[in-house]
Amino acid sequence: MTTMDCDEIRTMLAGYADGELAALEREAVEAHLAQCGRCRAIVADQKRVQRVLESNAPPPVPAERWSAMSRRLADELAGRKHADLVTQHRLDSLDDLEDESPAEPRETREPAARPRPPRPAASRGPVLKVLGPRVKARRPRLAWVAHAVGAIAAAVLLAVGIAAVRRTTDFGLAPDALATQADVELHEVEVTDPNYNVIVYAGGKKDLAFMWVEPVESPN
Amino acid sequence: MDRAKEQAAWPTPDKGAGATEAARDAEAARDAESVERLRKGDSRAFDDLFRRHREAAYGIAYRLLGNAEDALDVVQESFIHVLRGIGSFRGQSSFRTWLFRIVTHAALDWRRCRAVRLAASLDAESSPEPAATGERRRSPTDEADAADLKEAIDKALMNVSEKNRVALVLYALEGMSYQEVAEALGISVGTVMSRIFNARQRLRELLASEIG
Repeated sequence: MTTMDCDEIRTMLAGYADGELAALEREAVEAHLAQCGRCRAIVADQKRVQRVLESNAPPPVPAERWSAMSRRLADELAGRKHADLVTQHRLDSLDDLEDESPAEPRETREPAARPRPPRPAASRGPVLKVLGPRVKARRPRLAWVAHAVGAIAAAVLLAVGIAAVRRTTDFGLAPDALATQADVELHEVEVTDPNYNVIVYAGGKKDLAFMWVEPVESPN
Repeated sequence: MDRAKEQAAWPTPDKGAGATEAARDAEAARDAESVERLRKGDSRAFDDLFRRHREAAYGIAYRLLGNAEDALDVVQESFIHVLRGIGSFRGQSSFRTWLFRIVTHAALDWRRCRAVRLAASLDAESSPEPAATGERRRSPTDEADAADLKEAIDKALMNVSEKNRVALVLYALEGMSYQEVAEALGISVGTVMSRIFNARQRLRELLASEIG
């Protein structure tokens, strides 16, 4: 075996001292060490420093400090759970809407040809009317709620299948409170599932967006 | 030292790899199970993860910051980050590796913020090296000696360049393998080895008077 010189072997000495080398590398290092006292001394230094470090434990943490931290983290976890519950409420609302839809099978239609029936205000559901004000009121905790809602929105969109997204000026589709906002943009999302209509409301200046999902009502 | 004696002084590189690896695998499996339970909303799962890893997280933060109070703040911040980010944790690395990466970044951020506030006094490269102060150590009880050594090591660690120190701390003090350190830092195993080597060589210089 051709032995490597000191420069070639140098940085492998840590790996050798730590038992982290592959067999071939280890053999190459050992062949070099057998001839080089300087590198043997370096290996000894690497081991010595390692032993010193291992013996130098950080100051112990009093149990009450861990307990206090544990309580703080439990509070954080409780806050997260609250956000999840709010999100779950939105999902339940969507389920309620679905339950109100007709039980009989609907005929399958091409999304592009699907007429959009008028939507009575009463059927617009509680989702947006409840979510909007609560999210805004809890601004400091917004990240959790917004992320959770975003995740659900993505899941719902996947479930119904997106065919196209286009901007619309059809404010007749919007809940009254949003329809009167000049900086609200509406995006009508064309979906492949003919049983749902999806509209996204994006605030022009605020970092909020709402998604409206509603079942298509039966013609009768 | 004659050759035979010297040969005996080079312990065969062996960290008890088999047993250690099996223990690590078992720990990783337990963590993965806790992560799954946490995702489903089981708060006890988070408590399990916190209890199992808080000391190691503290050890890393302490070695990177050299201050217990700062280290505890970083640990808390890191576990909050875990809680908030658990949904995005894909399990490509072990939970432990992921957590240590979070702790490392949090500690380095913390240190940078502190450095901004105390720029002059905390400039590691320009501060006098502990070994070069020429100060005679107190004559000493064993306890005082140990305290002095501890202080010297903590100071010396702060005088190792940040990237080398991070690699050394993760490997040498928290029992990660080179591969795990590489994953945690997003660098190659060769780079890990080189950084650890350089960090130890630097410590050897800085602690010359303490460790002989």
